[in-house]
This record gives sequence, structure tokens and C-alpha cells, in this order.
Amino acid sequence: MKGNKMKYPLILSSVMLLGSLLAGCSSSKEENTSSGSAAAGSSSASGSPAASDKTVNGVDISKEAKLVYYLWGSAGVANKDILAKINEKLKKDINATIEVKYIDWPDVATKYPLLFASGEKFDMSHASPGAAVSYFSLANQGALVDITDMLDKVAPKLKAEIPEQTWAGAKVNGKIYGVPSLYSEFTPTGFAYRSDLLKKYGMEKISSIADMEKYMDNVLANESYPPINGNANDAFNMYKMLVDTTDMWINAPGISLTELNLVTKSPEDYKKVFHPAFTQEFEDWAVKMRQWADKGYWPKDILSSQVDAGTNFRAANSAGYLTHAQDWIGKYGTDMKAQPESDPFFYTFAEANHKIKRKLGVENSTVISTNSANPERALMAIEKFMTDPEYYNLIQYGIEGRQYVIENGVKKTPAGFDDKKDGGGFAAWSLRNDKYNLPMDTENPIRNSLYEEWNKVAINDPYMGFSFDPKNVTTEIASISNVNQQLGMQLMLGKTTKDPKEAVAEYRKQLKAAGIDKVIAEVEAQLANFDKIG
Amino acid sequence: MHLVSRLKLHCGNVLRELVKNKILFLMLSPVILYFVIFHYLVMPGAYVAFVDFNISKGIFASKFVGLDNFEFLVKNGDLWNITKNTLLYNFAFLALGNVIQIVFAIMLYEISSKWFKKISQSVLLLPHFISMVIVGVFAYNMFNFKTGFINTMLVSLGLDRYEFYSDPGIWKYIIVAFKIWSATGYGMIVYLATIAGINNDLYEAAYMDGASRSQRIRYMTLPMLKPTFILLLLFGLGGILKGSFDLFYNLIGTNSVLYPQTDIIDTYVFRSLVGQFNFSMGAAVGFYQSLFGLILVFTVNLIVRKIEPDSALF
Amino acid sequence: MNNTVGKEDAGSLFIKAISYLCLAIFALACLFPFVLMISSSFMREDEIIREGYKLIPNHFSAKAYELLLNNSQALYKAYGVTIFITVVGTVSGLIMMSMAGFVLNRKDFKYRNFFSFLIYFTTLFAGGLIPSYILMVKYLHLKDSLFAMILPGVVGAWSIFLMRNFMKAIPDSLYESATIDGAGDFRIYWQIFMPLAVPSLATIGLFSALGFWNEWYNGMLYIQSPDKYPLQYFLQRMINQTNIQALINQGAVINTADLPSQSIKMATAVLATGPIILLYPFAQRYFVSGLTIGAVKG
Repeated sequence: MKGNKMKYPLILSSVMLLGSLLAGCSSSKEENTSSGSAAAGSSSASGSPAASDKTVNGVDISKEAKLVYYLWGSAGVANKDILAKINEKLKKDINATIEVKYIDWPDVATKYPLLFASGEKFDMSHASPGAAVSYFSLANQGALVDITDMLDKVAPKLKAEIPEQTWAGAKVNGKIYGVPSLYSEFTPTGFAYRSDLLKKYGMEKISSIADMEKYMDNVLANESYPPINGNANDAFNMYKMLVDTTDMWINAPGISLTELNLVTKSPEDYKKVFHPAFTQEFEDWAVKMRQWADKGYWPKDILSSQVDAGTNFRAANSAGYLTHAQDWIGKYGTDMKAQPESDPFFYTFAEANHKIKRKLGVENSTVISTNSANPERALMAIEKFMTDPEYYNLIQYGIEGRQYVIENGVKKTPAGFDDKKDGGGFAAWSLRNDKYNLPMDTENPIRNSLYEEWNKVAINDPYMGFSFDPKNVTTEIASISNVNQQLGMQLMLGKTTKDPKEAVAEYRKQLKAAGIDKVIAEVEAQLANFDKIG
Repeated sequence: MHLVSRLKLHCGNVLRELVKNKILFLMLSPVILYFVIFHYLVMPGAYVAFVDFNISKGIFASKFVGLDNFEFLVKNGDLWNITKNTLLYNFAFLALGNVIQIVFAIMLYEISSKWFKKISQSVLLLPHFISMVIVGVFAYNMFNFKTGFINTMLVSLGLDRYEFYSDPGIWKYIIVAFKIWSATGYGMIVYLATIAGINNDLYEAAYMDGASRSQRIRYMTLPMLKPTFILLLLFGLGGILKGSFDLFYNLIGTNSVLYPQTDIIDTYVFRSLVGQFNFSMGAAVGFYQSLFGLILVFTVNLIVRKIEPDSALF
Repeated sequence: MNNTVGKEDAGSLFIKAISYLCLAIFALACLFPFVLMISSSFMREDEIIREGYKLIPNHFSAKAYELLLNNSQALYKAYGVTIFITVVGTVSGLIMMSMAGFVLNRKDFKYRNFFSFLIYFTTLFAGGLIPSYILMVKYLHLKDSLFAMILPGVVGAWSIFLMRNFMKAIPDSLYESATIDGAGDFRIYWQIFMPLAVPSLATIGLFSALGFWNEWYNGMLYIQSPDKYPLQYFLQRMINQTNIQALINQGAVINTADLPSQSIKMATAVLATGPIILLYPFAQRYFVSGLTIGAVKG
């Protein structure tokens, strides 16, 4: 009757609301089992061998563990297959399977901190001191599992594989909270430039700032595009150029290394830090940057530019780009494909003063969350990935024959490779190990010899093993961040409205007002109790 | 005793009201349930603005630090400037935006060609869909020194190139223009619908009495739009210190030369916290913005209640 | 919808002329960037980088669309997801909000001011991202559920107040006459108010649909499975590459060859906007029914 008909929408909407909650609940089942609580249940398919009473290294692996591993990037087409192969082996070895969840590049800044702050249940994740939430903050705030003792018991092979010094770098208050990577790479900042243009101008190579200026002047005179057609980010590259080419200045902790950070005079003086802004070298540099801007080394609108120098370089719209060495090496294939004549060389700023630092393993670590239900199994899985070449190749490169083939010891793309069917891979760079690393044909072939050379002269970061706790100076750091991103950035690109020397004076004033002295004092106070390792 | 009996009386009243109007309560309940779950249950989380947020302790067990998280806003002395900028821009968007939306709505109503109406309405809505990231890219395409569309035109007219991205003064006009361009099509829909609800007979009667078109607009259409205008204004005031981050971030971005005139609270905070993960400080700013909006709306609502009681929000 | 009552005088024609002119200019300003987007999506990558976006490209290249439509499975799924959440969200939202608008307008409902304030207050203060995230994931278990994209936006304070505003225009005399006839509250709502509220339903419905169509943030936060991504999240991922450089500087190993190019960004933007434009003309016809109100006079 009419009466019933009228109630429809009312009931409908209440039911919808209720139903959605219930529907939401059903997806929770998936959520609960994914972290594989011990109570959740026994292993799945019939294929599992008699793993019922097995223990490995004293860990009971009779119950299957489902591990969740958060990686950055996105799921390639073939990732499912690669993961299936990995899980096949993992199940046999430690009765565990991995589910990979992804945080896509543009979302990292939002989702990565949320991962920890929301108490989400997962097992492993990537971590780094320079990430959106620093590895050290995570450790200090109790978000990571202390694996110091667990390593000896559960993953002795891993413990032995990584040298004591590298472990020391990952220590926070004497305890280890993450597994550092074993990949030796060097990431000094430098200028990648076109060697074909170099030859055109009759130059041999760029190994000093004067050479670089000569190259850039030639570009201005002869080419239709600027030498460094970059964006605002290059301001910080210019700052790195200043630090790397000046005496024995080394980056010091305190202010984020993505800004105009603190430095120390030399590795020996590591306990005293200061900000370069208050030095004569900085003032001279600001004047030079203004000269460079006026000459036109970079576009007038660089502060608003939408395209970075690397992309421009590949479109033959820039004669060079600023980046770190490993990036230049890795991009070799892409650069050459876009501009086959360019064969980019690299001018490493820190080379002249022998300040090339070995990259700390902790820079790229794998960590286990305190919300994990199977921390031991997670650690064992990490051990497998880093110490067993079969696992290593699967997670780093994919399935042999399908994603890659090895020819003459170099990793290449196989002949029948179809990007639509076979594309994919995991961004598992924190699990890399020199021992099993395969040279790739997309890398600059110079990599091995260059790294060997650098390995001989490289120095160790004096701050290895030290983590700065910013707890007492968060306000000052935020204020300084603001000053850095305004006047600091402008100074480094020569875009100040005032004359450079006046602008530097203003910058110094603003830094003081923001509390730079308090930050320096705090850093030095914490350093007082720290002694250099190695 | 007195208090308890008063409480009991009040509860009794509520219950009686509930029973009397139970259908109405039932009809309102889905919406109320929504707000309770998705907003009120979450609101206590705003407390994080007053603590030193620790990941493993969670919001409520973290250490209480009072107003410390607000310090960075005042430390650099920038607070006044960014608040001023935010207020001025939002007022401009609100006032100018709504006025232009009303004007366009009326204009659309007054023209006679049906197909022109339909097409222009749809076209006007297009900017709403163009993401601010693309708008930023297009703006750069227009204004950049070397290859920008406007500079190319200037040169072809024999004039000098202009460094738009180094001139802070001009950007307030550019930003307001972009905002109006982006929001008009969407905002005028409300006014269009309101006008459409005005009975045509009334207009006819007015015409019979000798009213011209402009008189009809002034004395009939405009007053009809007043309640909607006041509603939108009040809503806008509540968020007067917030919003438009996308617009500013994509148009201005990292170009600090323009900041004195174009920096708003949201972009300032975003920059300050980019080097450290500090959820509490971000929340502190949010609290400041909300509190400001609350006081402003209360005040204006009181005024509106005196002048036009029907249009008051509450 | 037409205001052509009787003969025109000079002043009236002037108003009309100005209207046509202003609308035409503004419409061109709105159309131009969109056309630019379309033509740029057919440009070659290096031409875009070197010469910026152009109305008439030097070289025509449909490569961006080729690449996008090759991955069309994912694209179609995203369309499907967005259509689903738009329809479900809009319809359920309209039902809930129209009921709320009706109730909040009833002068005999004593607590309407209290509830109005309750609803309005949520636009001022919010808990923040972390508490909301915890609520959605931990307590409501909506992680990776389509409803994570529907529920948070299903009703909105602004829309409810607009609805209340529109319904104010409906005279009280209708209540009285209907109550005298013995009709219950719900019946009054369903049989009398809803037909009269069609323009407001169309308006709010349009806003709601637009909102759901543009939804990407909740998708970014809560959706894990690629086949549940909404259309706009697809787009946002493509064009929001601003912090990639920063990630590379921190040491992330990203193969930038895989990152979408400028032309792909344009092509994605074009594909993502398309269909919803058609909804607007469809909704427009419902704006016309002001006539029905007059019918109830006296």
C-alpha cells in the first residue's frame, strides 16, 4: 500500500549507511590475516611440506606468517609473478609469504609518515634519515623494532655479512633499529655536461669551477639553450657546490641536508659546527651566483620553472644538469637514448679537495615496525634477500630470462622483452649488496672503474652513527626552514632584489632571529657525548 | 537537588520532543549519524596541536606542551603578514567572486538565446575541472620571460619583455583573476538555481506595472538572491584563514621573490615543515585558523541575526 | 527560464547586449585553456619542453594517447570505479540531505537550531589527517574499500544548508493544508516537497556528482588495489611529480624514464574530464521548474 512505499527512501538510506559499515567490516578480514597473527591460523594449501615442527635458528616456523612489506613506487605488470616465485622459495625456507604494498612516488610525503603515525599493521618498510619521517625519529619514537639481539639469534648470517662499522651507523642510543644496505655508492653532487659540446669548444674536461664557467660561457655564445636550464631546486645544488669546493667543509647534522645546512670545518673538527652564511666565502659565493644569473647561465624565471634541468637536458634544451653521481650514472642509458651524441661527463665538486664521502649504509635501510606480528620472520626474510643470490636477483632484477639476462657479467634486457607483459620490478634498493650486485647496461660503463678510484681516496663521514634529536629546537628549525626557502634560495640563484652583499647581511640577520645559534648549541651539546667511529 | 530535577525536566522535554516528532528525528538521523562518526569522533584529535606527538604513544598519551607548537608562527615575525595576505585574498575571492557570480547568473538569465545559454553555462564550468597543477604550468607558459605567450605578444607589438616572475606587485591581480576564472562557473550554479526558482508570474506582474528590465533586476532578482549570498558569505567567513593552497602553491610555488605579496598561511606552514615531520605544528596552525574563523562567524552571524534573522546560520 | 516578458526598450536591449558580450569573452577565456590542453596532448614530448604548449603543434603525435589507451584496462576500471562512487554517493547523499533540509526547516521542530549548529560546527574544526585516517582504517575498517571514497563525502554541511535555504522558499501554508488533510511528516516530504524541490535537488546533486567525480584524495589515502583507483587519482599520480626530484636527492632510485611525460599529463587530463561535462546540460533542465510553486497559491 501507499504507506509502505513511502518508507522506502528512509529505510534505504539507513540501510546503505549500515550496509557500508558492514561491507567495510568484511574487508577487514583481509586486513587481519595479512599480518598473520599467530592465532589467525594454520598454513594454507596442501602443498606445504611437513613444516609443522620445524624451527630455524630457534624460531618456531610451524605457523605460516604473512608478511606485509611496504615499498615505494607502484606495482609493475609482472610484479605478481615475480612475487609468486619469491614466495615459493620463502614458504619452503621459513614458512612465510610476502605481500608487497606500494606507496607511489607523489604520495610518499603524505602516506609514508601516516604509515607509522596511524599505527597501521605491517611488517617491513624502507627507511632513511632523509625520508619524510627520518629513520632516527622513527627509532626515537618507538616505531621500530630493536633488532640488536634478534640479529645474533635469528639472522646470524646477516649480522656477519654487514661490517661492524656499517651496523654502528644504524645505531640509535646504542641499539640497532634497521638493516642498512650494503651497496657502495658515491653520491657527491656534481655537474653533468655534454661531452660532445666539450669537444666542440676544444676543451678536455671540467675539473674546476673555472673550467665550468668556461664551458658555460661557450654554451651561451654558441647554443640556443642555457647551460643550466633548471628549476628552484638547483639553488640547493649550488649550495652543495659551495660546500664541496670550499676547503675541507663537510656537511654536519642539525638542519636538513635538503636545505642550506650546517657544516663543520673539517672531519677532525667534527664536534664544532657552524653555518657558512656567516663566512666570507659565502658572501663571495653569493656575489658569484649573482654574476652567473646575470650572465644568463640559468633562465630568469628559474624560481618558477616547471621543468628540471635533467628533463631539459634530455630534450636538448639544456647543456647540463646538477645532480649526484649515482643518479648521473644510473641515468646514462636514458640520457644516451634521448641524445645519443651527448655522452654526459660529470664534474664532481668534492673531488678536488678529496672530500668524497662513502655513503652510509643507514641512508637506505629496511626496518621492522613495532606493529609487526612476526618480527623474527621479517628479519629472516630480510636476511634471505641480502645474503642469498637467488632471492637477491628475484627482488632486485626479476625473473631471469624474462626481465633480465646476464651477458658477460652485465645485466641486459632480454630479446623477447615486452614492456606490457614483462615490465615491473621492486624498488628494493635498501636491500642491495655489493657482493651480488650486477652491473647494468643502462649504467654508465665507467661506474666500476670510477668507484674503484674513489674508493681509494674516499673518506668516512665523521658523523656516522650519530643521530641528532631535534626535539628541543623544532620551532627554530621550522623558522630556519622558512628563511632558507626564501632568502637562502634566492641568494643561491642570484635572484635577490637587494645587492648580494646586502642580501647576505639580511640573511645572516634572519638566521639569527630564527634561532640558528640555539640550533648550533644544541647540535654541539649532543655531539659532546659522541665519539667518531673508525 | 535543584540541578538534578532541572536535568530530569530537560531530559523529559527532550524525550517528549523525540516522541512527538519521531519521524522528523528519524529523517534527520542518517545525516546526524554521519557527522557524529566522521567529524565529532575525530575532533578530539585536534588535541594533537598541544602535544609533542610521539608515534608509539599516540595523540593522547604524548607529552602536553601547551602553546609551544604555535611558537614557530610568531618567531619570524611573519605571522601578521601571512594572516593579512590570507585574509585579503580570501575576502577578495569571497566578495568579488560572489558578486561576479551573481552578475553572470543574472546575465545568463536575461539573455534569450537558448543554445547560447546552454553552451556558455557548460563552457564556463570547464575551468573547475582543470587541476591547479596544469593551471600553474599554463600560467608559466603565459608569463615566463623568454618564451611566454604574453611576452611574445609584447615583443611583436614593439614593447619590452616584462619579468612577471620577478614582480611581486602584479601577482595579486593575476591570482585573483585566476581564482575568479576557476571558480565562477561553479559558483554561479547556486545563483542560477535560485533565480530559476523565482516565479515567472511575478516578473510578468511587475512588467504590467511598468517596471523596466533593470528595475526588475534591481528590485526583484537581487533581493531574492540575498539569502543565498548571505549563506555563502557566512560559510566563506568560517574558512577565511584557510584554503586555496593548491592555487598558490602551483602558481607561485618556490618563487620566494613573490612571497611578501602572495604568501598565505597554508603555503608558509607547508614550507616550514618540509624539512621535518611535525604533525603537531601543522595541527597547531589548523587550530589557529579554525579558532579565527569561529570567532569571525559568530560575530557576523550575530549581526546578521539582527538585520535579517531568517538568513542567520543559527 | 526565460525572462522575455513583453516588448524591449533601449535599456533592456543594452543589458542584453552587455550580457552576451561579457559571457562570450569569459566563455572564450574558459574554453581556450581547455582547447590548449587538447592540442598539447597531441604534441611531441621534446617540442613541449622546448617550446611550451601550443595551439597548433608543429608535429602531430598521438603517442600520449597510444600509451594511455594501451594500458586501457586500468583506465576503464578507473572510469568504472568513479562512475560507481559518483552514482551511489550522489543518490544516497541526496536522499539523506533532502530529508535533513526538510527537517531543519520545520518551525515546529524545536531543536533545529541546535542541530544546524552541530552540522555547521564541523566546517570550522576538524580532527586532522592522522585521527581521520585511524578512524577509517582501524575502527571502520575501510582500508581498500570503495566506500572509503563514498562515505566521507556523502553529505556536506554546505550542501545541507543550501538545501535548507532552497526549501525555505516553499511556503508554510503547504504544511498546514497537508497536515489538515491528515498526512504524516514523511508523506509531506515525499509527496509534496520533493517534487517542488527538484531544482535544488538538481543543483545539490550536480555539486555532489562533481565532487565524487573529482575525488582522488581519499583514493590516494585508502585504496591499495590498483583496480579500485578512481579516475582522478590516476590523473593526479601522473601530473603530480613535483617531489620526485627531492626523493632522488634523498637517494631514492627512480627510473625517470618511466615517469609520465608532459604530453601524457595533458592527455590524461583530457580523458579524465570528458564525461562529466555532459552531466551539466542534463541537469540544467531541472533548473527551470519554478512554475510549479506558483501553482500552489491561495
